[in-house]
Amino acid sequence: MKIYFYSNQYLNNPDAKDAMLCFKKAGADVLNNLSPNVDGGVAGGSLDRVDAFVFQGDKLDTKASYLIALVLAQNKEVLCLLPKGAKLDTSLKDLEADSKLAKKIHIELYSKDDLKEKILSFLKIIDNGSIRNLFNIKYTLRISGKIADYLNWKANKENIKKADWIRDQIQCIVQDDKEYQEFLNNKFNG
Amino acid sequence: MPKNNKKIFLFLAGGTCIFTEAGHIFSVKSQDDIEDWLAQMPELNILADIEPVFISGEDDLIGPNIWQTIAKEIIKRSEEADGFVIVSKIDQLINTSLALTFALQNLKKTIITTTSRISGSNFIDKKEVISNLKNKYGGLSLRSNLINAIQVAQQPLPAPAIMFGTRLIAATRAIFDPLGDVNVFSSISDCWGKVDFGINVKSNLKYNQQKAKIYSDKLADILVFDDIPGVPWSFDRRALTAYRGIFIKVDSYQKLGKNKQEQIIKWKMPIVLYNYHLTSTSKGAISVSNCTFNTALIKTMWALSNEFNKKDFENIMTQNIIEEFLN
Repeated sequence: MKIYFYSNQYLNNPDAKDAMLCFKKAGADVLNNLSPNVDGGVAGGSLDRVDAFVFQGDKLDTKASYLIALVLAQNKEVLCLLPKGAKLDTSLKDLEADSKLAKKIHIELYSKDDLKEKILSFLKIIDNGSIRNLFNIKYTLRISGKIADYLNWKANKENIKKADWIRDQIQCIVQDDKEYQEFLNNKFNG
Repeated sequence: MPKNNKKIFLFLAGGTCIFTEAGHIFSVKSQDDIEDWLAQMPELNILADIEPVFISGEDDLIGPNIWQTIAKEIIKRSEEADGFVIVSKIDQLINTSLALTFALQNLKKTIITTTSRISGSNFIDKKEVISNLKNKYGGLSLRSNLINAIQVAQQPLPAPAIMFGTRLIAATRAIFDPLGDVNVFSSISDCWGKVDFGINVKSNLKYNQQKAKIYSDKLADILVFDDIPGVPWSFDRRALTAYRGIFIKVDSYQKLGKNKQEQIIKWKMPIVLYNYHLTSTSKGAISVSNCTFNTALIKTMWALSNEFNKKDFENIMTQNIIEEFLN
């Protein structure tokens, strides 16, 4: 799972460090705009390839507004982490009130004590989100001639695309794997 | 809405297909659809003060009449606007952008064009394409394209440009690449900007300082065809009178046959021979190369509009008017 973490408080921001550490500990791959020499991302990276966007700070800036809009347009989840006491931006209020976007934008006022809890709740949401079910990861797989023969035969017999058939099989295995299901249930329990 | 939002006019002329929350495709077919269409994308409002302008519906033909209307509407609103975003059909997006580039030279307002991956409101024939796009990209890309376009429209650019996928491309450099993955437009030179974790627009881009030149006439009707060496051209001369000129895409290494060269002389009308790499000369025709096909085509239509004397045609076609030639 890939998260893009954006904060407009570049200096003296221990909350951002804590939040990123929390995401990383939960197994998320965190890209961010605060680390030196990455200029807001990583070489060849793109917002298209992240699963969710996290904003942390007191107030939105132009770039944060743009990134939030873009991520919402891609039907991905957004977490806005504002320190308790921060005044909610009117544009955020508008988005939170919108019936379509309210499900995608999660605005949380945090304190040091509940930051981890809010992050883990958000991770659970994105792990079950529709975007995680999109077939958008390319996977190159080498197979033997015999396996290829079988795939061709099966695809032909069932009138289904080979990739669709493989995906269906894997999904069945995932559903039936009790150990894995248990792992998923406890994944973000800290 | 954030304070000091910039005013962006959003022109709608086809290319407006989006997925609704319920998974249906919705497009703007008439003025009445705009409100519902915009309501599908509330996130646009945190970027700018957006005012939609209906130009044509999803099923209307895009061509010189529409380009002329868009140019006129831009001029009408240019004092009030901080920038313009034009949504139009994917198959004509380069030509639309170029028509505006030639019509509105040195305008001190940024014009960005963008589109959805599909166009037209009849989806039965596109069912499989739409299903593939949904699986691969989760949508038709218009929402992201619009957000990027609205963001870029607030920055100074020297001429109209296309925003699609992760690329911002000058209209004069754009080529259609339907097999491209995220990007269906490529650039024959460096892109003006790229999207990764934000939009990185080239730092040296700014408005042209020369006085704005506005050309409001409709682009001329011209006959366009590809030459195939060895296959004769058979045209009734009377049929050619419907056109102001002829644009022929030629082979880069073979000269036109003798008969064809004689035909060109006999036709006595403005004729352009185009090839990206080089073109052989033929008496009575102007050879154009070193620019994109679309640029040469739209420039020919523009140079033959009522704005200019026919005698100036050769002069205009060989001049680098909007930096359309590569070197």
